[in-house]
Amino acid sequence: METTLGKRIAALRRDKGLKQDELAQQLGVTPQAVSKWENDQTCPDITLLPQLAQILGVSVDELLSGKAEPEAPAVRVLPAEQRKDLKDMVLRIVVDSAEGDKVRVNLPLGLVEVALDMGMDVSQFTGTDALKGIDLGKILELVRCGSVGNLVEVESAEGDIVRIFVE
Amino acid sequence: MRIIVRDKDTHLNLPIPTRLVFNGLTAGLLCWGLEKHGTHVSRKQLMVFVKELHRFRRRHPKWTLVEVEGHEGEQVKITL
Repeated sequence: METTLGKRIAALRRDKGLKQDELAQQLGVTPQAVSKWENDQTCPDITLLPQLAQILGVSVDELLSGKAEPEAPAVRVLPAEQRKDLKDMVLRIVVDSAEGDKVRVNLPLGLVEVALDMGMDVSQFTGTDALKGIDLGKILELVRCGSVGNLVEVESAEGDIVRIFVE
Repeated sequence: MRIIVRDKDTHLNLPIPTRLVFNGLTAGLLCWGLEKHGTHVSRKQLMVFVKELHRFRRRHPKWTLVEVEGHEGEQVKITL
């Protein structure tokens, strides 16, 4: 997560594919006000925070503190009308080793789909053998059926934790 | 694309022009190189990958693709 509130707002807005004036319009403020927030010259009014957080798809707590929710999102099956285009979704692979090493891989699903068509497998994406048995093709099928959230969670005997989730 | 490597003593920041690395010419060269090593990937497939990469980069500039943090504080980050 970004370090300042303004940078977080800018990053989340870009992730949502919104322009400053579009965000401003939804909040009923001027684009200049949004620009000032993003440049850390001013802060959004406290009464706007719930609506701002909702538009950006995070909680108010997450928006203000910059810390992501500790719990991974639970698995959900979205109805057809709420499903996003596969190319706008992200596959996150999180590996926390027992020694304290952390690996975070954020792959656009569009790229994963193309790479799978070329015959690559998951261990080639991450460079770790811990994910050798995981079939990314099956995960893609689940996503196509509308499943999102924490799709895979593995904890090895050595204490390594591997999680795969789709957003 | 940017590759950042940090540890106790060094701080390496490598900006790499994405269009220079991922383009039709390099896709063709990679395809030829892989063919020599017995892996068959067509140039058309590689170009689909390259186009998708550029499309995603336009939509999400500075996207963090990989972030690795060692237990001793070493850090490697690759952003688009």
